[in-house]
Amino acid sequence: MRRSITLRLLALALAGLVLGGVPALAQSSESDTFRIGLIAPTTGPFAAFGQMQTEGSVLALEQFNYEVNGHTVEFIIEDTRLNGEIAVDKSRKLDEEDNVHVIVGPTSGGVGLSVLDWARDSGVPVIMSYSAPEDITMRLAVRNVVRNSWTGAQPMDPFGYWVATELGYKRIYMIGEDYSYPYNQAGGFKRGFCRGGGEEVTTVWHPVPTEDYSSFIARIPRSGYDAVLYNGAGSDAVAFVNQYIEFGMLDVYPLLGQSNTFEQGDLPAMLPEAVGGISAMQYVETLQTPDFQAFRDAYVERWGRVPAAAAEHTYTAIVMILRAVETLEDINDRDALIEALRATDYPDAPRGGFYLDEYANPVHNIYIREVREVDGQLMNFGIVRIPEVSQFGPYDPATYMAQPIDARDYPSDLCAEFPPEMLAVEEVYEFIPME
Amino acid sequence: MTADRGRRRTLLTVALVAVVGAVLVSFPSWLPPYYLTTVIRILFYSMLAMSLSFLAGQGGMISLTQTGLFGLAAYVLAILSVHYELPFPFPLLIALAGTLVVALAFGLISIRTYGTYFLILTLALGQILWAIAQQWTSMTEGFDGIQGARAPIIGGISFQEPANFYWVLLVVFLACFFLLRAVVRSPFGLALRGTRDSHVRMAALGFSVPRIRLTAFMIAAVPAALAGIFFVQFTGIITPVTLDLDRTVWILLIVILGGVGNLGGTVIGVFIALMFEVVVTRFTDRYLTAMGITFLLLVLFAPNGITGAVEGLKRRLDRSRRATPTPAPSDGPPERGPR
Amino acid sequence: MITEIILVLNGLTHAGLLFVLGSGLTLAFGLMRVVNLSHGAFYLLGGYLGLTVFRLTDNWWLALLAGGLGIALLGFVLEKILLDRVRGRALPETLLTIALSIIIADVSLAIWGGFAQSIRVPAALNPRISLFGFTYPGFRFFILGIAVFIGLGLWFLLQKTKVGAAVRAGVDDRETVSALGIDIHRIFTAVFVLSAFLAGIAGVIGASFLSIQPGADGQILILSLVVVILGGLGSLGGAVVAALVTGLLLSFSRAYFPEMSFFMVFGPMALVLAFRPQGLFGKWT
Repeated sequence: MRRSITLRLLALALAGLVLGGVPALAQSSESDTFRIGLIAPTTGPFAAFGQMQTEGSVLALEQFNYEVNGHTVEFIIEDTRLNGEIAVDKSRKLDEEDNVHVIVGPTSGGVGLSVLDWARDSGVPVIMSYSAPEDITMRLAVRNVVRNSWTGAQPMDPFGYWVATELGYKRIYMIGEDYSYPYNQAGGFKRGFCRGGGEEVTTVWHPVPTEDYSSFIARIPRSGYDAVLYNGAGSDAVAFVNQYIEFGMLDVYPLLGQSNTFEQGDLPAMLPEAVGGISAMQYVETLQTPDFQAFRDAYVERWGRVPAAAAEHTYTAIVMILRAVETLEDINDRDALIEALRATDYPDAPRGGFYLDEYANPVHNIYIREVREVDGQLMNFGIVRIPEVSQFGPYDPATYMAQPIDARDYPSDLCAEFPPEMLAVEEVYEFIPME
Repeated sequence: MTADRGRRRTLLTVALVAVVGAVLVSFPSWLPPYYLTTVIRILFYSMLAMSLSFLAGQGGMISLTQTGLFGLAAYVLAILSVHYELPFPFPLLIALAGTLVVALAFGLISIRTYGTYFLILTLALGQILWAIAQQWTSMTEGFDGIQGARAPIIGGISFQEPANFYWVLLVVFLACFFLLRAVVRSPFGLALRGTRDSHVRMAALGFSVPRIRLTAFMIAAVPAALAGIFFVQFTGIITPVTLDLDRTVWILLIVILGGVGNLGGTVIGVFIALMFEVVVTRFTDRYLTAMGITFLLLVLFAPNGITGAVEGLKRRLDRSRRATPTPAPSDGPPERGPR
Repeated sequence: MITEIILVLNGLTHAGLLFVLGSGLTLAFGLMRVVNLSHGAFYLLGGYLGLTVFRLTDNWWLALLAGGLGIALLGFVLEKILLDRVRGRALPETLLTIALSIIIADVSLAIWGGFAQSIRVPAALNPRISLFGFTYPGFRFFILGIAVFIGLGLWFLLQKTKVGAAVRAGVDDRETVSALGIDIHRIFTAVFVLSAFLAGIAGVIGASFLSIQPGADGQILILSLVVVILGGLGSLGGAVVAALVTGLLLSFSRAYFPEMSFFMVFGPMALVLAFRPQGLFGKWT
């Protein structure tokens, strides 16, 4: 009796699947709209990033009136929940069900790598608008995947160089989150730092997430270093910075951060003593250029808050796409779209102009920022600008990519152990003060 | 007369099974690729859910460690095939064996506990696996997870082709399904249900309750491990998220939805859960709240899940159709007469 | 040596927090055989409630009270409306608490957002204490103080009051207590509300010296379960010992074996259970 109920229900489910499948087959995949898909974590703990990416995209689309090249633009958002499996499933759905022309997103590195894998097999054009693993536009690069955001090492190489040459630091104690993005940030920092005359970057990794850093802070030697660099972000960064301050460590060593440590969304949760924290990124929320101010004002008016990097990057990704589509004769010509995207030159981007290198990663300004207090609020202010920084830093791409990928214990903590080809390079950075 | 009806019913069932079987096998040739992907996911998640459904339904053991074992098998396979580049079939065999060893260890720790305590204990044990996945970065790559596991290419046949992968998975799934069903109907299954209903009495009758429960635990570990193996080779990535608290609860929800102990119902539960996700996320960001509320309503009003609810409905309809209504078992004095 | 001292102090602080959380959970289980798996969500929501009240009033004590009482009220309402419906069936009750935890966590995310936030403890409660040549945040001592105070309060309640005697009797033998004419359901409710109150307080404390963000509920729930399982369900003394062991292990393992810190925390639990399924001081059938 029970068995036949189950069997009947199973048959029903099967029928449902079949019935669902048939109309999908019959559905015409040709439509006159240009379809863009966004994959981002819109729910779950990282929903803030999903929100930023959505807001940036929608702002751009509204500015273009959801129209390009005589066609209406359709925008579909799918939630990744910061999970690679879900992201790939949604990407598949966007491609096979919604027939999107291009996909924008995602946020995290792991998800980016999963989507890269899928994109390689499916051929769908993808713009990595935040995901930072360098191999996406280096060792694993694929024709149809471009990036308009960054790699982990990109801002840290010039930063490390500046810290060594400008601040004169020789030894840094770095505590970081134990996964690939901080490894890449550490790698870039070490390279620049060592080239600039630094001696050692002691790296200690902590599990993600960690709420209590007292054990790690307890183990920091009270002398022998010039600064502590916290290589992490989000709730970990907030906890570390606050506990670092509470344990009186600011009296011992100044605090530097990775690119996201002093993220503007996290600053309000940090103690006021966080003032003076220095970090580097391709973005600073208080940039004074007309392009940025226009974007910022439009964003504030539309969404009621100051845009963060993720929002700007998704915004520019959409603009990139729409500008590329403007040049197309046939909006369904995938190869032409890919070529147009790879040839992107975007001098009026809000963060500062950028263009894509031959591996489809942006070459752009890096800003060294300092945390300051204005009207009781902590914000990042740009103090130095370094123009035309590429993902390869000052290195020749072949030399760079011949190195092993940045890992837990690579590159070495000791500058003296660096391979000579990584130290003897002609410096290309120009450090321009911003005020 | 009844022999005729019996034979007709058997023929009908056989015909139904044949048709369903044919449709299932034919999927790759005409189902849109995204739908085939969904069916594949239904199959391996069903295997995981069945392992919990079996343990909970037949043994009264709500083991929240099954998801952990699923993830463990996936990780071992990924580590061996991606980091150590071992060829087929070693990663698969070692993943299976390794997971069974861990299941044995966990089983030994937990089989002397019952009911709610068993639940939270297995929850904690499952989360140990999550903690290892998340924190032992040099082995598991922590938060990033391990990328690159793929189905093997054996003798020229690529099992990375969705169709081939699907057929193998279908066979394994059906094998697990029918094997579990066979266990349910066997004398062992009877003994297991005995320990579920009253382990004290069973012990008094001379059964070794720990041994029965441990055996059940080990049997259930197999479909969970196999599911993990298929999962990682299909998805290409394994991250700690796959074994975390949310995912563990999700599988529990599915099992309750489908009707605890009802293997076929579990498949229906997976199907509904996946569809639910697709539909709900179209309307709201509060997918998790919707899931929680559904769980709540299920526990309160339909603890026997969909199959139980349908059964109850059918029973009520049947009763109302009869000329002389018979009182339902729950109301009125107990029926007298032959039992 | 200094490092070790800090690590011990850190461990004690964590032990304090874990005790406050574990004590309520263990009593509730001991009495009602229900494990409140919403405990982590209560902690989370308590922390957020405290955060909001602190932002509005700038008074940390008020925030503490708000967190505790707010969750106590929530616990009371949930107990009456939902858990009462499945009264007597431990498994559905436990499952209900799982469902509640999902809802509470997601609603909290909707209201307070995804960024990590913390309660800025007033300097009066968080003096920089100079110890052996290094600075230690005074608030951590304060937490230890609160934990000890709560522990003593609970001990007093259980050992020296009539209600406490009823609770202890109920843990040992529910049926007899009922038969003696004591309204066991009132006691259930009281214990549940007390455990919710403690979870809320713990949330405000956690939000003050650490931070509060989505996901904090899951982590703290697992740690609470470890404390409760290790210590033995229903045993307050067990909760003290287990909290100490767990807190110290967390602190030291983070310093020396960060890759295995969580695993090491689970270690004693698994080991003890292999030999004593009821935990160190547990008393269950």
